[in-house]
Amino acid sequence: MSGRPVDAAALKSVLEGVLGPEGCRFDPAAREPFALDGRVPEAVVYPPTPERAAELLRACGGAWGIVPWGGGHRAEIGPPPTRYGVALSLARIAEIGEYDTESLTLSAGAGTTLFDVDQRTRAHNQMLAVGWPWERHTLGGLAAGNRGTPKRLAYGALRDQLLGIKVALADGSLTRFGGKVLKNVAGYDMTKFFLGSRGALGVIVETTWKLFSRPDHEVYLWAAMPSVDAAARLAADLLRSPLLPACVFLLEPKAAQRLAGLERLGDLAGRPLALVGFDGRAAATRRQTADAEALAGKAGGEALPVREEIGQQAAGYLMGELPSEEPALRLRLGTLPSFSGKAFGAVRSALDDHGCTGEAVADYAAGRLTLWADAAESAPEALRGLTETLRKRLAPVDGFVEVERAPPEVKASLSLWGDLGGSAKLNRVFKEKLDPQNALAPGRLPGVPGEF
Amino acid sequence: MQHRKADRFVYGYDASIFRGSDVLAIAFPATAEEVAALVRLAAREGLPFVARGAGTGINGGALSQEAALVIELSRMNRILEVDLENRFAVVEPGVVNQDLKRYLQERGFGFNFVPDPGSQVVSTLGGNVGNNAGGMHCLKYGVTSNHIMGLQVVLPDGEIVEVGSKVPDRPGPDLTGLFVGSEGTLGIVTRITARILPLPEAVVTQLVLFPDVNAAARAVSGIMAAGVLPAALELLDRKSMTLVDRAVHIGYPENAGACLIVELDGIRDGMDSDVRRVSEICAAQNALSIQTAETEEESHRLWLSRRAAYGAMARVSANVYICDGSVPRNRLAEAIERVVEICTGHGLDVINLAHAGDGNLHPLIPLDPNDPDARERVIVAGREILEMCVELGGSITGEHGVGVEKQEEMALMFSPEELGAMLTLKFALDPDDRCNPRKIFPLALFPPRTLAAAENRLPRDAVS
Repeated sequence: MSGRPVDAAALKSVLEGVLGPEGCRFDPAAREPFALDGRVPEAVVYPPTPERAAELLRACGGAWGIVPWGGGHRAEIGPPPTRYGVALSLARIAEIGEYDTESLTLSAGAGTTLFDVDQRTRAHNQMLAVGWPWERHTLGGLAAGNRGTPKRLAYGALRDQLLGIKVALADGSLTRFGGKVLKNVAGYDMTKFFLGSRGALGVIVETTWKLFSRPDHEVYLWAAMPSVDAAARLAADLLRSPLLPACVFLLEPKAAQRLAGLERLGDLAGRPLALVGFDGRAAATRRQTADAEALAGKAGGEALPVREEIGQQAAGYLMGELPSEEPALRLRLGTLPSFSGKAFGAVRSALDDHGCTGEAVADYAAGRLTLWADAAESAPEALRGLTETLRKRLAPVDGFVEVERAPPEVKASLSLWGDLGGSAKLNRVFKEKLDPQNALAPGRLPGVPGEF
Repeated sequence: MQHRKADRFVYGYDASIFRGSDVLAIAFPATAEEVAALVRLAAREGLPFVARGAGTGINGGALSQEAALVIELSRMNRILEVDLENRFAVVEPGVVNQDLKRYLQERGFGFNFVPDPGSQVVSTLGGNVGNNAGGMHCLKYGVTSNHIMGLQVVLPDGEIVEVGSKVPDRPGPDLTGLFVGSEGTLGIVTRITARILPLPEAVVTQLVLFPDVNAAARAVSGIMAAGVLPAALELLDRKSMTLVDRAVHIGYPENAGACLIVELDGIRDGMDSDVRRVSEICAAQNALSIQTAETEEESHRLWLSRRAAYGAMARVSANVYICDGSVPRNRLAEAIERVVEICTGHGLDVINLAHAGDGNLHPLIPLDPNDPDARERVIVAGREILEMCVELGGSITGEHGVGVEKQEEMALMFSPEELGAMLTLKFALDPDDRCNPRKIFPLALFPPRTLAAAENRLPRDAVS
């Protein structure tokens, strides 16, 4: 159905019928920013409420491909939609609703940014511990993408912090699951089901989160290590110790170079690095930092404390946010933490084998490596080969490689997710039942073909 | 296999106050492949089947209202792998919760599997996963689901699939999260990858007595507001304290109307300042006394008042109806007050325990199962308590699950569309509703039965 021409007049009439002309944009300048791999939607709509978003889905009746949009920050992940009539922006569903400072929960529209949440919660010395307060990260986008949190060791992954969700389903029903209580086992855990569903099983219009009190102190420590393996061993030692690091990131020398401009890091650049963070009371962070320094020293490393904001800035990069223009390819590698050192080695040799350049960083506890890579003129063959080689290398440890960003011709020529095993079948069965017209983000649900 | 009449009768019971039908037969598979073979057999013969762990669930989820094949997983009780560096254990579903903890402890690994439902000494991890069991340490560490990384599941068509894995955040929906807590209605879990965590360096337990529940509840809010995140925050009302006292002789003073158990854990350094903070907050809420335990023995003694509570119930009543609802933490005192009102209104006694930190209420209503009138009043009061929880913004079940007990109450929390969406997933995998049939959702939402589940249809030689 991908090639079927869209009946523009019919589309306009349906969309404006629900949202009025003020809620719909059809001019190219408004539509261009919503392009996905060169495909531009026929319309962009801005429903003002969850109810109107649901009504819109009902009115469309599956006739057009509809892709939900948050801040667009990671919209490049996944294949382009096989049908793309409508970009459904959640920018107007961006109110912070119930904020219960006593029970430490917060509900907000899917279009609410982390920045807004940060502003609001900071006043009560609380926080949403899913990432730094970036303006383009929306709550709905985070839930739909499920790409991890920077301090999972201290506050958990997204799945541990998302308590409830409101979702407009493809048939136009507006549904709410979970809630604002920490313990709730009534019915299926649909909140988790929609986590990571990438807009293809329903449109997340509102989310409810567990908050935390802000730590008294956030302390970071750089450890320059003699080798990447030694850095990985330090991370392993930290996780086996009684210490409670909030995060442990690893950088190979190439990646460490990028941060050379940051304060004090100049001295350490060119060596493999670990960035260790501790959150908590002063006495606890002081003692833990000292212990971590000692552990690094014992492993032949050299440790230096860094200021909080520098640590945060670096940790942003380590979560996959590049400070400058991105290379052609960005891969997310999943591996066992203990395999991280070897995974760095695999990355380096695969880059060499395929004539690519690149840099890689790891969130040790999450078993995640982010690899940015490029080849001469972004040669598709090399980038594809690199991806496939890494998949083979990670297979023995149950790892995976997701292609998050790639030139369209590369994306079109390989599986972006690799082998998803039994999940592919389940994703497909659920998608077919919940969205039989394949209207929502068609082609973008991992493991499910663009047309069925 | 077992199919003697007595066995089939016994498997019509579990730890709940409900009675299921006699079952068709009980199978004890030893491997996932055997489970799959049984499920395929059931598919071929059009038989309903129910997975069962230790049968300690109290929502009736392990019972069947029609003659079903019971697939008992107690033989699948091996701990297959423990990986300290990557913090996981791979186990079979029949492993008892406490046995995994003991395994880790006895080998001196310094790790623990945290979820600790009250039934932990007997309940299996498969059952814990099926019901997404809670426990005393959910405030800081979360419920079972937060500790499950991946599952192997036999789907209702007999296919064996893996969801999630030892490596987190795989692309796509969190299917592990969907299967955990689905009460065996979407498939049978045959292998579990569970997260294990290093033991905390320091643990301090405090037992604080208050004049009343309100003061204790205000202290709970105060502790959280001060940025202290205790591992556990348990509350007992006066009646539970009296009951416990009679059983284990703690010697609570007469004027204590409520008691709070606070457990802090984490890094040793700075712990004393958090302990002091908690004490100050409790004192500000007119605490009558604060005891602090710093050794394991002392801590065990303080915990006794909470852990002995269910057992102590046996002194006053042959049976007890355990309610389980949750409310936002700051509505806890109000909720407990209303529980007492509701029960008094029905001429019933009630004893209140609560996982106060997560707003999870456990009113215990003494029940004489042989008095049909009292039983009816208990059921009505139970429903009113759940309605109240929903009204306060909470849930009809915090950690015990829905099963058959609360399936009609699901409509209090969910719209027809929401129930429909959940059932869409159920029927996508199990179109004939044979996998733990007619559970969780209001009965009217299930299509009329067309199964040929006659008692003698199971070919006895079909399974070897």
